[in-house]
Amino acid sequence: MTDKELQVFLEGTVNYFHEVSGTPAAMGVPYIKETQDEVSLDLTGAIGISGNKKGVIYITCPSLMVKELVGIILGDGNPDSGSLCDMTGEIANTIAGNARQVFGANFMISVPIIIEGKPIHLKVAAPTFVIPITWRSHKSFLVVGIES
Amino acid sequence: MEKSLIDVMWVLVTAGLVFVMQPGFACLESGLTRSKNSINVAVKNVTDAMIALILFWFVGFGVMFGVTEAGWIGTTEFMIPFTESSWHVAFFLFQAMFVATAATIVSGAVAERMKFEAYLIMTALISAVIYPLFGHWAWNGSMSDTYSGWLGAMGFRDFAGSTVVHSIGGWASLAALVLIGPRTGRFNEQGVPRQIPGSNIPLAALGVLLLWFGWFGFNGGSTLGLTERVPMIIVNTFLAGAAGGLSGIAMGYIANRKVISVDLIFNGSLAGLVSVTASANVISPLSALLIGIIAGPVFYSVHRLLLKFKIDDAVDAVPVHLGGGIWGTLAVAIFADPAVLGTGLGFADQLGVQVLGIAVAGVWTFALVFIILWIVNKLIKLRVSEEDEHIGLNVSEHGATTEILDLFIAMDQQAKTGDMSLRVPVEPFTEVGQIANRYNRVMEALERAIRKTEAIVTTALDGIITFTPDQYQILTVNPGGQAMFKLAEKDLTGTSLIRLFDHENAGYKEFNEFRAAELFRQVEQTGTPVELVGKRADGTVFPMEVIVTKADLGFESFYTGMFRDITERKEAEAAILAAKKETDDILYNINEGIFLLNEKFEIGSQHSLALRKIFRRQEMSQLNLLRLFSKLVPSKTYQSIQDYLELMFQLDIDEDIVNNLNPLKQIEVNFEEENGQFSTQYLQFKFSRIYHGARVSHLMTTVSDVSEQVLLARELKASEERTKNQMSLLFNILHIDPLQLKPFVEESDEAVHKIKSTLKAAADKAIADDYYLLLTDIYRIVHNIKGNASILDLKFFAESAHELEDMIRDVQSKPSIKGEDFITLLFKISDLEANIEDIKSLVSRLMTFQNAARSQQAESEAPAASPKTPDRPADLVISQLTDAIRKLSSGLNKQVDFNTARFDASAVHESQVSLVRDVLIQLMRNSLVHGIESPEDRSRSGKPATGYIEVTTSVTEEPGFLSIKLRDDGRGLQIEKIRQKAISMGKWNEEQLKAMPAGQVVKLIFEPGFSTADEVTMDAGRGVGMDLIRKNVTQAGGKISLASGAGKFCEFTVKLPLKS
Repeated sequence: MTDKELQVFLEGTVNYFHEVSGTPAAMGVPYIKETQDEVSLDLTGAIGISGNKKGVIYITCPSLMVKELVGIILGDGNPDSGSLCDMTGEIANTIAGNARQVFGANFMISVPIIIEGKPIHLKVAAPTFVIPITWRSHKSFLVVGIES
Repeated sequence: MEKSLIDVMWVLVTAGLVFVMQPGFACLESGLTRSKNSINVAVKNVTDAMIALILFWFVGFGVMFGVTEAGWIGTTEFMIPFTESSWHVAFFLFQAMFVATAATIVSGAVAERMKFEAYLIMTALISAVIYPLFGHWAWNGSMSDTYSGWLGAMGFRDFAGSTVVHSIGGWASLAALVLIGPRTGRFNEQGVPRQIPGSNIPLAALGVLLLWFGWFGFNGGSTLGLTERVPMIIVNTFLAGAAGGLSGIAMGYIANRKVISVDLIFNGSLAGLVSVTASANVISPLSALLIGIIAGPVFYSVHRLLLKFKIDDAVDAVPVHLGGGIWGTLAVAIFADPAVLGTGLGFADQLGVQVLGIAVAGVWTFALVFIILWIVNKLIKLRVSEEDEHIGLNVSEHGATTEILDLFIAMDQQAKTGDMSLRVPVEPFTEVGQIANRYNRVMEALERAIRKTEAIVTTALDGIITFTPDQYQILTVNPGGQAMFKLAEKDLTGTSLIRLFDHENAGYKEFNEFRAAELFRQVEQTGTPVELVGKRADGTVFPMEVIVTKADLGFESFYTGMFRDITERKEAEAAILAAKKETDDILYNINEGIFLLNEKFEIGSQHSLALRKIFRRQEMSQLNLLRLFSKLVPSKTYQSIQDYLELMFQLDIDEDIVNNLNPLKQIEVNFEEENGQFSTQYLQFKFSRIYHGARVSHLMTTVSDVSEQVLLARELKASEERTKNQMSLLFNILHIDPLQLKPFVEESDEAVHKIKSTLKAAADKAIADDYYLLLTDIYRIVHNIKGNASILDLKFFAESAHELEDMIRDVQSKPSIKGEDFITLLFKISDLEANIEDIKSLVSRLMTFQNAARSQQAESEAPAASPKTPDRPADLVISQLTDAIRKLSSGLNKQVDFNTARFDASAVHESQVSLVRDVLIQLMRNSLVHGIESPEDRSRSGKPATGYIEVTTSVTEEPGFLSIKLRDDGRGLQIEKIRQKAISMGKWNEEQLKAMPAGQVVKLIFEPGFSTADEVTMDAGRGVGMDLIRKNVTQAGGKISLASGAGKFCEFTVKLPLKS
């Protein structure tokens, strides 16, 4: 993966928050994940990538952040955990879908997998990049590990 | 009473005319009845005349016209010899014709069911008793106008016999009809009449016209002479007949909803004629017309009345003769000119006597006929049997043959013998003849069909056997059956069918009648044959297929069985099954997907199991390959697959050429897994044409999953690439002692992890760091790595680190640094890490080689030789420094002596080796770059061209500290240059700097980013080295100081806590 390609995911994520809420999201200092690092918050939406690129991207968010997003999008002030999971999956799917538009049909994306509060173990040979995304004082992490 | 000869002649002529009514009746009645009774009706008309005439001569004439006894009965003139006068004879003849007419009326009414002999008895009764006696009452003495009969005497007038002739016939008919009942089928069970059509309407029309003609004599002759009134009488007769006919048409038109009924026309006109008969001599033509018109409705009313009472009058004789007769008799009182009539009665009296006459005729005739016929019925039956009625009276009564009878006989004969070759006689120009002709044609077709069937049965290879349904006794067997079971027909017929079955081989314990019945029933119900085992006469057995059908002919039933020897079929089936098994085995076990693709790109039903596995689908038959690809590959690839497949089916394009374009030689497809993930497979398709005639019918297709090979190939390529990189790496590091490389690698590795953890820590912080400072931290680490790489002369690595430094500086130079700016740095760091990994792996391998080589060397060398102990890490520092100085000085074109005699490596604690090395390398670099002058400069300053650098250690300079010094004989620190640089950097106040004492200015070299180098090179100019040294030394609990003499020397002293 190149920095340009990583930029695609990043822009997709930042744009998503902006489009949905009108509030821009800010990117923090990115870093390369060490094998032992665990990057997982309350809710994680992961999408497997296959085709001409292989790997995983996921976004992991605090539940308050997802709750606020659900409130904005669905107008549901007190969503249940199912709605939160759906929302998380939706974010991941939108980011991956956006990337698919850029990378083409051979960039195959799986259905989102939602993980609640558990650490994520990735099996990716390539370096995995962790990008903090801050939106309305909530800090989430976009994690991209894709082999070219 | 003498009459002129002209009168005699007139009477004779009119008698002849009246006789014409006899054929008239014959024609009318046989025309209006069915042909099967035509002879009987005609014969009755002939014979009744004979009987009537003879009996009238014997008794009738005497009773009617003999001298009256009190007006009731004649007593003379029986069997008269006719000796008196010709007139007398003519009169007899005329009256005899009348009696025949009266009698023959009945024949039509009772037609089609009355026995001939009964009819003759009735004719005799009418001719001898009924008619003459009533005739006496009405007409005796009329020939002399001295009415001596009691009715005539009372004034009852009936000119030519509306009552005397027609009503008597009508009443007699009515009595007979009541007794014998309607013809079979005339009324249904609900009593609704069914029309029985006449057989010959034109003949009936002729009869009507003959009757008209006869009526001219009937009425015209009743004057008993050719008088002045005769023409008028005939005219009246004609008018009434015509008016009756038209009235009939009108009635029919009204009653039958605008259909002009033929029999209503005929009978209407006859009713008109009957009606006018009583008064034709005493009425005006207009009256005759009216009488005729009214006769129509009268006739029709009586006709309806009879139907209502279910009285079946075959030719409507009663409505015509009785209805018309009664109306005509009443009309005398209504229309007759009293003067001419001459009874002297008034209208009412006349009407009364007319009614009386009608009533007397009715009572007398009806009662007498009814009684006599009732008796006759008891004795000989009036009516023919139902069967005779069905066959027709022509045959049953007269044994007469007609063409239809001949037809029936021939048909019966055929049914009885079953001889299909028989043909019925064809009577030309008859309807029956046409039917017979058609029948013969049907029989010819049938015979042909049967012959064909027989030919099939005879020549069929199948056994066709008929047998009884109860005992399974064989009735017939065709040659095929005989050959099949190797038994002659005589040995088969009459024996049980069961013996032709072999129960043992068929798997039945016993094959008996019950089992057979069960099987045959099953075959009949399902219509599908059953497979059994047949047994031949020689005991051999064979598989056979049996189908049976039951033929139920009503009176008898039998089974027809078709037995087919299916030995060959069974063998062929077995061969096909074996072949199929082989194919299945291949298709089941082969690793490739194999199938045939048709022109619609559909996959054939026969395909290998592997195909389903490759495509992860249970069902592949009829699946469209293109559609399959539409979900697996991008649209561009899809289009090229479609184009290629279309070309493959085009015969005019060379297969080899098209095959070069095969886009499916190796294709990546992505299958969605159950868990929503995708798995990528690489498939290889090969197509070859299959020709059918002059076209490509299918493409033989093989698919292989070449994922493993593809991945292996990729792996190999990547491995080659790696190897190449490693080889190049190897070249780059080969000149370095692995023992020196190892710590470098470890330290670099640690440094990179440090960078990563620094970034992570910054990312995890809630409040963002100052990005500039963060980058400075990272920069220091990178710079150190670069320094270490330079010392080892790892150029490529140092360059890489240098690039990263450049990138960091670029970011730092931005007015505002953002998170995004770190991304490019991350990739560079990642590359650096990969490089370290590669070197690490190489070093590890080199070490392994080296160790192996050393142990080998140790074994071969003499044990006396002292073993060479491996250098301590600190010793390595000196050798690394020596190398580095040599390389760096030659790069800078400077000459240096490196003195390490007073450096005690053992004094450096292991934990401090790395730090010491880093420090010394930085200081050495500093000396070489900034301190030691070029040989030319040194010569100009009176110094030797070769400079020197010395490193020393001391544990005694300050207690508890290891002092390490690095001294050079260079130009010393250039205070002014440092001051100027600091001013140019803008970090410090210019005034302050200018006032700053030299001792403080010197310390600026330890500030981050400070360098006095004129340009940034690989070796200096970043201003990080000194800054890093101070930071690291301080962190290790040590201190750093320096002394400098302008143009003479520079000495750095690093003191580290002494460790044991």
